[in-house]
Amino acid sequence: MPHSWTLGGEDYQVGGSSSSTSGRRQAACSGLLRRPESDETLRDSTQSWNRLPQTATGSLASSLTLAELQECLRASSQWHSRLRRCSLLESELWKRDLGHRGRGIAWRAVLLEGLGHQAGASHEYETFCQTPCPYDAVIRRDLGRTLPHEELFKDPQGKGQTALFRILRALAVHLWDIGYVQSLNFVIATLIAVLPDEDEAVVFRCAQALLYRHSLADFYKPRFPKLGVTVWQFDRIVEAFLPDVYTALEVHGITAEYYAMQWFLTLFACDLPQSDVFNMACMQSEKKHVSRWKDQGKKGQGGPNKLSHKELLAKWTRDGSKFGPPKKVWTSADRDRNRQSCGRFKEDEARPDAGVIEEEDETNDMLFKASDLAHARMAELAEEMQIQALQGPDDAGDGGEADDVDTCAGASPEELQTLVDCRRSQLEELEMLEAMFPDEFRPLYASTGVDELRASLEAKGAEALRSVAAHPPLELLLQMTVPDERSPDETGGKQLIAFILLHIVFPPMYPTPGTPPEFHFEDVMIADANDEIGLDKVLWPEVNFDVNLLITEMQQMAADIQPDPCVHAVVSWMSENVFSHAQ
Amino acid sequence: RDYDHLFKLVLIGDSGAGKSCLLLRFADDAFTESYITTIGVDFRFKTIPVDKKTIKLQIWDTAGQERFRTITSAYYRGADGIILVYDICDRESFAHVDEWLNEVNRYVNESTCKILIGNKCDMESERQVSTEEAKKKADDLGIAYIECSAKEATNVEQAFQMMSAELIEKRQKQGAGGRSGPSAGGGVGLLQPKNREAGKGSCGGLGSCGGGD
Repeated sequence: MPHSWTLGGEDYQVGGSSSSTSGRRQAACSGLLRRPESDETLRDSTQSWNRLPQTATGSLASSLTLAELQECLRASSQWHSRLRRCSLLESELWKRDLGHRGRGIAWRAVLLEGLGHQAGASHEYETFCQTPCPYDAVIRRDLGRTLPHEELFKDPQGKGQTALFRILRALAVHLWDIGYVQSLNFVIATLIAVLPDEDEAVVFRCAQALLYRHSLADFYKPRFPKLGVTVWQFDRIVEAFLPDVYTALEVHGITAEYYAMQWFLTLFACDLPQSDVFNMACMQSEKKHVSRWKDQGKKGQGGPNKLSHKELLAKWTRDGSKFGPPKKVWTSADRDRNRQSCGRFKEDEARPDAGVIEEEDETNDMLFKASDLAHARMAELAEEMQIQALQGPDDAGDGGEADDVDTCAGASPEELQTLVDCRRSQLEELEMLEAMFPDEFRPLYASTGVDELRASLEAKGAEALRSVAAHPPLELLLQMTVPDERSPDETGGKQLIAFILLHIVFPPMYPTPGTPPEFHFEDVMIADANDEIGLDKVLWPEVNFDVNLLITEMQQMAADIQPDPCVHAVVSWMSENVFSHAQ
Repeated sequence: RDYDHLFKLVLIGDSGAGKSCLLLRFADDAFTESYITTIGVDFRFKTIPVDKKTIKLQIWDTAGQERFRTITSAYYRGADGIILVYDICDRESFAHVDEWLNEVNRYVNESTCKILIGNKCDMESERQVSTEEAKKKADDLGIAYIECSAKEATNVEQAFQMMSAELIEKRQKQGAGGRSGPSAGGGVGLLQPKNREAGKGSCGGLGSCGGGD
């Protein structure tokens, strides 16, 4: 399968796609829009497609010179190695539903990654979107015909349609060689829907990034230069991977041109419901979780055997990783009591005449799922830590910061610069982590503080550098819920779920080699999802594991990955391996 | 086969004239206010009885924006009938009628049946093009004219009936040869609007854009 991307490889590789190369390729391809002369040719090309790994790409291969083919393969392998390095995107972004907020952050991060804040960008945008242009009438006509079923775009005077008009006009004015093309409306509307709270100027920049950094511009230029090639490529992919479908369509003379043009021009936004467009990347995650629940159903845990996809999803959302009891079911008093009881139990255990703690009177006959309680306990603890962290700087006063300033007062400009680079990288990683762990991410810093830090990063001058370097270490909590992948048969009939509150501190010099992030397990509770206990009972971990060993391994792994940002990889590894460390 | 004649029709006209809505009304007898912009081309089949004959219509709906003509023009080829739609409340769309005909005549032969439809005739209060003016225009061009409303289902069925009747007549005049199927002829395919093998510059809408400029 991966080899099919040889075809698209070049486009991705070149990025801005130098027009001479793409023009040549396009000429080569459009000549091939005519079908193979005979059935033999067709069969031959299909067969060679099936041998992709050895012989590149059938009919395409035959139309390229050896040098061109080598160029394609080289581009493809470069692209693959780049993908491999970028493990964040490949393994996670495609697997999970980021949630609405996370999606906005992630899309923005992916589109604008590395583009600093441009001074005057929003002023420029205002100018563009207030300039009348010849496309105004067409754009206006399409506003109500874009995503008419979406709440955001229903009202002609509403926020959605207004923003859509302004951004489309700004693009038409600014990108004069594209202007306005019907189909761009769907793409921009989708962007607006993903970034509804974002400044329009930012959405405008995202749109530009989509067109130029992600090479969509050639789709929309007059005569649609890239569309023909893409549609042709798509036909070759159908031919290679769905030969029966291809043959059936071929009989009727149907090529992708009949059905796939709008897929590519609107990035599916006009064919699929908005939620699907958003979630295309999340489908795999659904599949994974749904199959897990299906498995459970089969094992007769009282779960029905056949649930519709929707029911399964609802069940997963309710019972799976996103569950949580109504707030304050587990109060901090409960938690303290639980801790005391655990302590007492340990003391009892230490004594030779230890017995099981006496069953207390049933003061509360309400039963709660142990896992819900564990989750609530972790949430409470996280909240408490966040509050403390936010209050912290006030108590400490400016004195603490002044000390820090002193410590880096003697630093050389180079050292200061390194510190600043580290901070920048840390902030980027935090933003990425927030997108990757939308439900788990809990910052232990005030957002205003980070905004100031960002501002200082942009600013010039020794003073700004110094204040960046002196910023207290960035810390965060990840509130993880990790279900045990093993079946209950292997765990003595228990469906284990681990609740982990992981505290991560970035040392100032992180991610330079030798300075791994600090990991602290603030709270670990492994509960049985099927267990139910009263609020007055002790919540006792089902399993324990060697936290120190785990931390050592995590830090080792972090050291291996550095100087690349490592937290995401380490935490993912941890959540996959936590049960193998359980005793 | 379950029909006497198969005709290929193509809907053209300015963006927003109501081509997709006319097709939706004719094919599904439905109307929706929340229609989306047509990108590229779309097509529907509908079988109707005309003069005791069963007629199967293959109707192509095209994007109206001028930019898409490089794509849609490939679909004019081999068309039996062209349905040119304008919006009676939008003078500009009427003003473009000549332009559309010029465009289409580059790809179809003189004998291709053409009809001019003034859509949205339910919106009398916003009318910008009078029936007389449109009628005169159609007469000058030597094509039939009818006013429709996709919203209120006025004359939509009739417009397609009119065109089909004219096409049957034409085909019968051509003699028995016409019975072999659509005028594009020859192919076994259900869809054969392009005949890529035939003639110069005939590698299809998207194909033609590669070499040209």
